[in-house]
Amino acid sequence: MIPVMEREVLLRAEGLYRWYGERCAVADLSLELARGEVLGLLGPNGAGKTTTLHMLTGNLAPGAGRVTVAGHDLLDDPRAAKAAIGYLPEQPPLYRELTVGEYLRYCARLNRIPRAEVPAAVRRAMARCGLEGMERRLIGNLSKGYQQRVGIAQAIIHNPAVVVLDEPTVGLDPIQIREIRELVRELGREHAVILSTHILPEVQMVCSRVEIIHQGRIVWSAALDELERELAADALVVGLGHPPAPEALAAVPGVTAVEPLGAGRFRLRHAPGASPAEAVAEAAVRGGWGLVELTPERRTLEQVFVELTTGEAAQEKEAA
Amino acid sequence: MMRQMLAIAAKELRDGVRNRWALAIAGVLAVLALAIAWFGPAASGRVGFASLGATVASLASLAVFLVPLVALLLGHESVVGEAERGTLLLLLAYPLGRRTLLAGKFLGHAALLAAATALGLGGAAAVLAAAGAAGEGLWPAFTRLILSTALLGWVFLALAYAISAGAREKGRALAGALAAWFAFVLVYDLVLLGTLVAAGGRLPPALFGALLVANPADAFRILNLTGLEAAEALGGLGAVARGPLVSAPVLAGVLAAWLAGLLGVAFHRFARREV
Repeated sequence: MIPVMEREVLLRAEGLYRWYGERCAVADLSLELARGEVLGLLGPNGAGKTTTLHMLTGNLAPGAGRVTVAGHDLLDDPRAAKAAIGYLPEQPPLYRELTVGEYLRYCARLNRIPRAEVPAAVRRAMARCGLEGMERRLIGNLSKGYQQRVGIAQAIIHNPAVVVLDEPTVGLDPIQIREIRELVRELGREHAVILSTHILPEVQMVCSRVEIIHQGRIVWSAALDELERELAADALVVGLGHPPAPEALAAVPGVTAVEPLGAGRFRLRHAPGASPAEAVAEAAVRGGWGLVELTPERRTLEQVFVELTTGEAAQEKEAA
Repeated sequence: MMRQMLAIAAKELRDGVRNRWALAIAGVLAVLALAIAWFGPAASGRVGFASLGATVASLASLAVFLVPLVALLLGHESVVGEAERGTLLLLLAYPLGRRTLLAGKFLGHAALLAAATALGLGGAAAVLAAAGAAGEGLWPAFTRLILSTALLGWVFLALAYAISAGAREKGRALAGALAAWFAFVLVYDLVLLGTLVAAGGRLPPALFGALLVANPADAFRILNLTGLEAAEALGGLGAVARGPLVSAPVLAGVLAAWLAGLLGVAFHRFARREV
């Protein structure tokens, strides 16, 4: 993550609300995004992700709150603000009857790129998205992966400050997924990128920050390094052929609690970052406990996600 | 803003040319125009060009059925079609006003319709001229017919946009477009005639004329009958065409007013539409 003093904030949403009739789809949502960051926006279906993206891209007016993009207020100066955003909706909406070149030239002109600069902008976007040599190909004849690249190319053709990508890897094969993720990582070096996705490992692979949205509210926000600390192992699972009494395990230096799991298996709690694995192995050899398993237990992002969106944590946040 | 509008218009025009809409409209108009010119008098037992007045009157009657239908079919997907395939969401995320987007699309479709009309009817006129079938009045009469047909097409294109901007599904937009065609082209005259009969023919001529002219389809038909000898042979409509209410500028003004009004409705509905 870029140090706080050097962060160039390109997108700022403050206190966004959106109601659909009586239902509040987004409530008091605020976020900030700086150049060089890839923000993973996670949330279950119906959490308010799409509504949030629509508000951030100017497709939906918030009921309250404000959005500024590259210093331009989206309500007061929508054209300038939108000119600083590149957007790829879920299932890239493309004109299948156009060629790649025709479509990108059209997008360039709608993004107010001067006519003389259009060919260069198209070439640059195609090169960045790996579309060289495809200018004359009909979009409808391209594979899904290449159509997705065309969708991303239109989003970056005007070199926007902020790029918003909604589920860019859905429906792609594993090789295409890897290529698109690499492309997103590469975009993150120059732009501020929001990546909305359901795929949790994708967030850990691609993003520098994670925000989990649940019932219209941000319930968790962390930089990736904070996330890694959060997920760090705080337990060991041991399997023993001749298990001693739990008190003997609790006496091993570094072990803070012991949970019997049955069939000679135990979960040994310890302080985060202070694994007693070596001490446990030594004690097992000394005591003849028949060590057959010694596994550090890490929390996964999925566990955090499920806890936050279905468990007590979510209820506490909602109550707050 | 103007450049964006022209870019959108150029895309619509190119799409229409590419999917052969323009060619189909022009071809159908040209073939029907020539068929009417040559086979129109067949009922009287002969084949061949009869008179310019009769040909233009027949072509106006043909255009009043065909062109509104073509315009409604061309325009009914303009907004709801983009919405259904998701491209509207993307277009509105561009630095582009809604008015610019709608105006660009309308401009492209209007140019397509005008070009197809000019090509179809103009092509028929060229064939008639080459065959020496009509005298000096051919080009002025056909010019008026082409311009008024384009104007009629734009009115119904604007109606299609107004329907499309408010529709949630393409199917509903199509149903609305067809209902509008029935109402303006078929039902309106029938209701007017029924009213006249029910009133025992005592409807004041000025009121009847005004009601007739209020319908853009009838305004177009009368516009093309004014000044034609053949108008006399068309009974009531011909009499209105020769009446004091209906100078060509007034009729063109009626069509222009419909165009402006319907475009206003389309812009208003599109401005309020949620993506």
